[in-house]
Amino acid sequence: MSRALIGPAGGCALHGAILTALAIDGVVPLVHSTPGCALRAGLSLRGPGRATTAPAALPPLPSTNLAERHVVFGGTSRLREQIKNTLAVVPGRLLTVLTGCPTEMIGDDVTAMVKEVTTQGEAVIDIATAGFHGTARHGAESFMTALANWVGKLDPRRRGTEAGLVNLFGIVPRVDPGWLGNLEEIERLLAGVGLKVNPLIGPSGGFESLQALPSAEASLVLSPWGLGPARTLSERFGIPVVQAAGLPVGADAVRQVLDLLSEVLGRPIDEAGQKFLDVEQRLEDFVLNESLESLVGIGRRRFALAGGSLVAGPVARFLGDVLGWSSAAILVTDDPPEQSFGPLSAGLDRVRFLSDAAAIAEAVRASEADVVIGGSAERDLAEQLRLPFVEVFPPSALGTLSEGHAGARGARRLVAAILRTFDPEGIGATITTRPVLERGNETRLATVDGVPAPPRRIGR
Amino acid sequence: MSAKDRPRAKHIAIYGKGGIGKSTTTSNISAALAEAGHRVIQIGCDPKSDSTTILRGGAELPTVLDSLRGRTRPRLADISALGFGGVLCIEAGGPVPGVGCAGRGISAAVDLLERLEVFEEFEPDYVLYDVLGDVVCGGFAVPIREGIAETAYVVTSSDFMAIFAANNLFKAIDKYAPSGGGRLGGIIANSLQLPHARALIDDFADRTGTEVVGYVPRSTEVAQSELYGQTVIEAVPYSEQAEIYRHLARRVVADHEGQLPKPLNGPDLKDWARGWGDRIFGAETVVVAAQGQR
Ligand code: SF4
Repeated sequence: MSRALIGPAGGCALHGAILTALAIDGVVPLVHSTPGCALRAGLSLRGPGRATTAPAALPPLPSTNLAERHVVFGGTSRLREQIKNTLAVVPGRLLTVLTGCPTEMIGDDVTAMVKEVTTQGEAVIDIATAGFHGTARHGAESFMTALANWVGKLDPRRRGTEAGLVNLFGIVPRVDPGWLGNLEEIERLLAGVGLKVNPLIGPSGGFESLQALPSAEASLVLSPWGLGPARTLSERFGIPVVQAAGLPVGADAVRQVLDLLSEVLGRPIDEAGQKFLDVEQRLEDFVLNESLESLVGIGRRRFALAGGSLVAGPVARFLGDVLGWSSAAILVTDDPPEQSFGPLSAGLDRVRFLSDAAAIAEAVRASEADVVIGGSAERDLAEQLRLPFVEVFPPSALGTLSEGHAGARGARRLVAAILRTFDPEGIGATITTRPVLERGNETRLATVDGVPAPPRRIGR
Repeated sequence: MSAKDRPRAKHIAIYGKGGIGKSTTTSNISAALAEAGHRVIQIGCDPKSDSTTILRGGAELPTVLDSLRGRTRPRLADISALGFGGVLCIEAGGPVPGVGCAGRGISAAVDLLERLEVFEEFEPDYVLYDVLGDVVCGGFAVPIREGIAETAYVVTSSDFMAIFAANNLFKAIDKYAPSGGGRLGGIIANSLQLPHARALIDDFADRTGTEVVGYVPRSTEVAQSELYGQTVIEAVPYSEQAEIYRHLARRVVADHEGQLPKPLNGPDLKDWARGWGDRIFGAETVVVAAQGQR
């Protein structure tokens, strides 16, 4: 028998769509559902069990706020009224009507309501985002796909391409920890090799960025949640889809992604671009050299890591390939589609796809890891298991403020987080007060063959 | 007698596929009970909202859900009318077809009646729910869920689709009975006309471990009374048909053990229907052949 999922991250599909809409300047969401649906979007930003009321920061969110009588008699006339009022008072360039579970279950003919206003020349679309379709990331993807479809219909002929413009998909605003920092860093990295990111979301995204989608030379997809819009643009305009193995964490991963992009674009990275990548590499080398003593003291760890498909694999790859750590469990927690399991776990050991908090806890417990890496949910778990914990994914409410893990700068933050856990004084020795030492296997792991195990690659 | 001393009213749900004559049957049962001196409430739970029409001479009656459309809380007087013999008539109502959720409508209406304390106020002996029996979603099962009605009857003709709907209701009863839902009182065979009809319904009852509590033949008196906006009990009280309804009313409210039916599963139901098909058409062929020989 099926049972309820414990602690799905980031709310339901509707919330993913709302959060995405709010991250695109000029795109206005209108929730067609009961009041709680729109309110939950604010609450879920703080994670389950944290908020007691709607946060003051909840942005103004038009909603039809259906009552029981609308469920019984249908909510379309309420929607008609709300569309009209929203168009009149909320400034924006595209209104997106987002349906929740109640309205999709009673079968409101939302498309007809939207057609009424689009025939009058208004820019309005409707998107089926009821929570029963899936998680916030599902909703964000449907939302992006609908936007891509809309620009496609708006301008069916492709009006030329803008050289070096690359659409970016797969980072889910406010749901992926560090989404804004990661976005900025990807923009900086692509700019370093002469490309320009068309991000759609965030401060440099917005309605113009939406209009520019068809002019891009390629779509870079960082997680399976970006495939929907990228494929839509590929079908309509033949824009090639470049699928990365996740967020590029560390200089190697950056080089890989950019090489792949340049190959698809048929545009080799020029001298200035190569120089930029060398700087990126040297930054990482500096970081590793500076922390060498500490890392040696910490030794090669067996880690259990939990995170979304954007970051879990990439962080694990960095830990394995660069620091020489081994994986006890890599848990991809955002329920990506099955077809993406292969690419997401390429080159990694002991990857599992689990989205239930209880199952994740059990997998970490059974993994015999000696360090837990993840977000705030894993912190409690690590405490229970009396294992050291490295917090790399900040809680989603702080996700907008944190810097993320893209590039060599991201790797630097990752190493810093590790050192904060094991060597907070920076004296090159593992802290001895951690309860983990009581487990008895600490010294064995820290000193393989009697000598402290060095990270596999330090410098070039 | 104070409300406390009065025995709790008996709540009875009468289900039936749309158009099978369940409203006519229910209204005649209500009329017969009222005629015998009982206080009766009949609640129509069908979005068509015409359950109690023939008790009220066809007068307009705002539905419970109509009152939900507005913002003010309705009073009992706004949503009820006294019909023949003092039967309190209430229509749950529903949305326009193709819009909204009729199932939730029924739940909402029943909730509202409870909040209005209709039963405490009117102190009925019997409450009859006339429910659209095409149980398509949870809302239509509300009257038999959580023990609102302790007994459910199903009105059926010998039409396969009516039997199919009855079988579905049996499934719903079996689903909810363990958690305090109502039980089956029995089958009411309605519109009996064709020679095989009675045998067919008897056989269905037999196969599902249920009981037929009344046989109502098709009659012109029913159709005629309806044209005048009346029940048979009111229009032609001395007719044989009126007697049949009085008898049925006594059976329906009599104390007896509710049953847990054994509904047929999909393939069994189809096989059963096919078997009857062969028998009926086989019989007709024989008649036609015999006539041809003459
Ligand atoms: S799961 Fe459905 S009902 Fe719940 S908040 Fe999301 S859209 Fe609304």
